[in-house]
Amino acid sequence: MKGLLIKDFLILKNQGKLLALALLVYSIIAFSSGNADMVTTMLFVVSVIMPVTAIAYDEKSRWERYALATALNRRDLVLSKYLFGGLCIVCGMLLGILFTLAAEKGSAAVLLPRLRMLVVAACVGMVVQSVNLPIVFHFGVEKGRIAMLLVIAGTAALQFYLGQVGIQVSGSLFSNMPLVLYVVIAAVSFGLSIVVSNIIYSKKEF
Amino acid sequence: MENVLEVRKLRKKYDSFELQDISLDLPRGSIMGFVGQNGAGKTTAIKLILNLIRADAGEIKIFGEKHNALDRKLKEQIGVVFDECNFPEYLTAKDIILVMKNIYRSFQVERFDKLLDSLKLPKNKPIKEFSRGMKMKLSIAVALSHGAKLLILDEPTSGLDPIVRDEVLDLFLEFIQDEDCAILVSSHIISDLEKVADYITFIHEGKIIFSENKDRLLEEYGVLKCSHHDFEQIDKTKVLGYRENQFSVAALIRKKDVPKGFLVEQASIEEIMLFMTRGERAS
Repeated sequence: MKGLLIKDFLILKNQGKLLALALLVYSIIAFSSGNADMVTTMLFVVSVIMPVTAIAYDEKSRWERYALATALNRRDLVLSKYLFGGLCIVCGMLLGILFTLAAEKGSAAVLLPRLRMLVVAACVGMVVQSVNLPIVFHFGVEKGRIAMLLVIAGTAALQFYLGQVGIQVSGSLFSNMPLVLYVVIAAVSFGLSIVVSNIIYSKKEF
Repeated sequence: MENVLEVRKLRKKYDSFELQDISLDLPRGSIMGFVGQNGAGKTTAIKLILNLIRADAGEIKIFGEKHNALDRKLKEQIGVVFDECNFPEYLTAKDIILVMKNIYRSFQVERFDKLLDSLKLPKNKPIKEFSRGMKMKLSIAVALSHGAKLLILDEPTSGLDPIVRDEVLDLFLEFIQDEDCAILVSSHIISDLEKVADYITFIHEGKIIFSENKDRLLEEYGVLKCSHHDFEQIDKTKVLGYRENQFSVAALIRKKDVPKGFLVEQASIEEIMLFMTRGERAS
């Protein structure tokens, strides 16, 4: 398991130059505008898609077939991607907090809601990964991306339909939710997603 | 002689292909060449042995333990090389050490370093800059660096030039010096297997045609060459396959079945395979 995480982070390191450049550009914008939203958004998006990127590299080199022939088992492979995804989100969130504190000036009353938003974004990221990873494990990265787009389109269509029939899904419902509830939802969705991915992966042939 | 690997009546059915009743025994201290043309079922059989796909029927034992108990301890003792390098291409050999020593508890960094040196593989160059030969040598170096007792190799020499192939075969022969070890190596390059294998298992269209000691195969079979007229005199039930041209007939036959007065030439493994699969059968 540790070996798998090291491999994924080593691959991430190889993308480091590109990420560092993007971070630098967004940082300049953040510090000159006094608003870290762009940096935190970038960090959020990158950390959410990182496990899928790692799976794409695995698929390219047919790593999974080899890894399963080593001392690893299927559960190790599944769990490592969730751990990697979770660690990326935590790193992204911590970096986002640092940037917010460094770039934005204001009282605690102004900063605290913004920091809360970062934690919420991390929890949402975990939920997105929870939906995304089983799809990618089942369909592979290429088909998985299409399937994920269909899920997003389906969700938007459902929201539109609910609006048409008079059921409004209010944004304030989510914004007023206690932070701990976000964390619980993220943890539960991650747990359920791991169970589903394990079932999918146990049936896969390589 | 104790078997490191035992396969019994293994079956796997796909829509367009079926692996039928595959059985083989790989004794300790030996190399088994697993031969057959592309698509014959070699890789499918190896994937079944490695539990990468599920068998419809049959039994596999590795080191005497049932296949479904292919746990970590057992897998530590199996070194695997596929027909391509499966390490992400951005990694370097140095990165591979870091990854593999956290995958195999018994990974020997010193041994791996020595192999990298002897195989002239750079430590800090990304794998994407390696040639195919270097990539295969890297995969073999990893398989030889975690104290494996059984090597399972799927076409490790395909696409390599003769010099690299020879280097790789030497590594296999060095590995087998430890009599507790064994190698199952699939290839369609028969000359490689003739050099190193003790046993030859020949698979054709999903069926095992023979699985025999190589020397016994070479002792047992011969190619009889004669005229059409002489061929008519031979009991056709003894002929395992034949080819004819305008002037003569060449037939694969067991040496013990050669009629008096006929001469047979030594049959190579390749000839045995070709006669058995592509040669005509007397009705």
